[in-house]
Amino acid sequence: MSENAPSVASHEIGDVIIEMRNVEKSYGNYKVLRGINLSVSRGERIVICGPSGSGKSTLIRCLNQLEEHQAGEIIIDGTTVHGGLRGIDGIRREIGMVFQSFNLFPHLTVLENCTLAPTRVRGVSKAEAEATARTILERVHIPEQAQKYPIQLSGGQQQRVAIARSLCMSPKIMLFDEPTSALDPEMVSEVLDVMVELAESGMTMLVVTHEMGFASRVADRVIFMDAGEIVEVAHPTQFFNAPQSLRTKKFLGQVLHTQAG
Amino acid sequence: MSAIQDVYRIRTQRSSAVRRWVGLGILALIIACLLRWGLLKSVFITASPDDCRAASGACWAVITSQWKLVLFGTYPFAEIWRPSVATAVLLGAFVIPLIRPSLPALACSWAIALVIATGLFDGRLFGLTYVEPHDWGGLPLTLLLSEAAILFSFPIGLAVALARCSGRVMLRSLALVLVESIRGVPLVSLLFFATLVLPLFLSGFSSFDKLYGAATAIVLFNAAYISEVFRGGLLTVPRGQFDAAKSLGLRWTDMNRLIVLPQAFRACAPSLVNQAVGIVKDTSFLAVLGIFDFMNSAKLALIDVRWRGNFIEVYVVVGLTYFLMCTAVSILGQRLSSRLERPAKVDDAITPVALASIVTAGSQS
Repeated sequence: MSENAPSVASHEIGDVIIEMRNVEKSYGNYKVLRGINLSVSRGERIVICGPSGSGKSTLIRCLNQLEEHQAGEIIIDGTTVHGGLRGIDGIRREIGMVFQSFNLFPHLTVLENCTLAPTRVRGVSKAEAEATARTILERVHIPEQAQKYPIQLSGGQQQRVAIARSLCMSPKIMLFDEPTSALDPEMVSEVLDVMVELAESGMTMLVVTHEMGFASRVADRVIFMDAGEIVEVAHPTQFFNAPQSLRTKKFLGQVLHTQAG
Repeated sequence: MSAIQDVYRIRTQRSSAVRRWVGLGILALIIACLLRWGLLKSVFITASPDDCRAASGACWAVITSQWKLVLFGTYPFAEIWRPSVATAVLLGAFVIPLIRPSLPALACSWAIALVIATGLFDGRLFGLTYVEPHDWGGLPLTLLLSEAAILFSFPIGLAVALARCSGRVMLRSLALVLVESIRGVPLVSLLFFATLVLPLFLSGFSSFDKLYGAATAIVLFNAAYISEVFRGGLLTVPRGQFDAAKSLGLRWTDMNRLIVLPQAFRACAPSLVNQAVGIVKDTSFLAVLGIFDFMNSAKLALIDVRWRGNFIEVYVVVGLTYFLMCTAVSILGQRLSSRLERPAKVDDAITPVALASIVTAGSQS
């Protein structure tokens, strides 16, 4: 992806779909999230960056309760989520998630990976689920791999299958947890291209990534986190050209330096 | 290639040829001796043990003349068609999952076979004369106990393993205590506990025979071990698989049934087959309670003073029978677990061309 590519065309932003109020999370004495306040609107694309251990992965994992928060409130599309919530499966099926290490199901084919949740969770018929899966696999440019097993694919292909698997549930929100960090450099762009296309389609996205080119092209807001806090929230133009905080400046210096090199 | 290397190569080839011929010779000698003893010079059918003493080979007549005792133990002779049919049913249920290797097929056919076989032994279910569990015995009983113990101990073991891996502290500690307390005791003492102490608490059940107690003990004992095997398998499934399954909104049961367990099974299949084979052999411990399982029944053949000297033949037959049963179990286990084989990576697959190049490279060096 070239650096001076035109940014994704402006689009409609709707009502609030994610609301975090004073969210706190700790492992033992170690505080991972210290009072996070964030509100995301429908259709908004948000990139979260920050040094490792800053709590950015934990933040998005709290949204679908793969991690339970201890204090504060998280409201997803009108429902308050918390640890013991009985209907958490119902919330999760509306939130797609893509992981750093793909986490495809190794014992199932690509097509089975994509149809499992729609048939089991949404009760869609097998034929219908397969038709949808094939359409979406086409959308992520790997329709020919449907009958293969994940281990037979390259990292970039696996990550695109993982995206397709989530999309098959037609989620309202997509979370990406460092989707390109485990990839060989030459495969990063094929995954980012799919994500850009997804952003263009109006999906609500929260992306934890260090791909600053992607952030500047796609994001409505860039969030910088450090030590469990949101340090800075800004439009990408402002974020990259005129960062406010000293910590952001330092981080950007490091990241842009490595990416340029 | 230098002359010294040539000499060395010829010498090693010659010495390996010598070793091979010596080895084959010893093997042939052993087989010849066994054949002579077991077949050529042996006595298969005779009423009098004296014929055996005259012959230099094995005396299989100890088995053939007392086959009722060896095969059916203390079961009333007039009714031995019942354990015979039960055996056929149990073996039939064993073959079904061999033809159609799936766990549901196995569970269903075994469960049905166990009900029919127990009904035949007992008699009351089919309106036959009641035969007390005390009188059951022989090979049919060993088959019945083996299939019952395998059928019950695996699901219990799996449930305990899932409890031990669950997020609930109470459930987890309960499973831990259960496993440790059963695993920390020898099977024999557990058998005595189940047959002597347990009936005191269950005095309401007048029909609670020691056979049921003993079967329960074998099931629990093996379930404890199996749960640890399953837990080992569950621990090999990466956290990311749970994350992915949860993030898709899968329910707990679906997550385990469709994602976690298939991968866990694959990791621990060899050890599970191990356990199943062990269960078959564990049933022979029931002899210490005076239950006439196959092993104990076969020994009845030696009670007759005239046949007492022929214990070798009896133990050879018992050993071979157990060997066949255990082999059958392990074949079934392999059939079931081969369905879980990891899909091969295309690059890893050895094509004929690649294989040929490896072979030629090997023979050149």
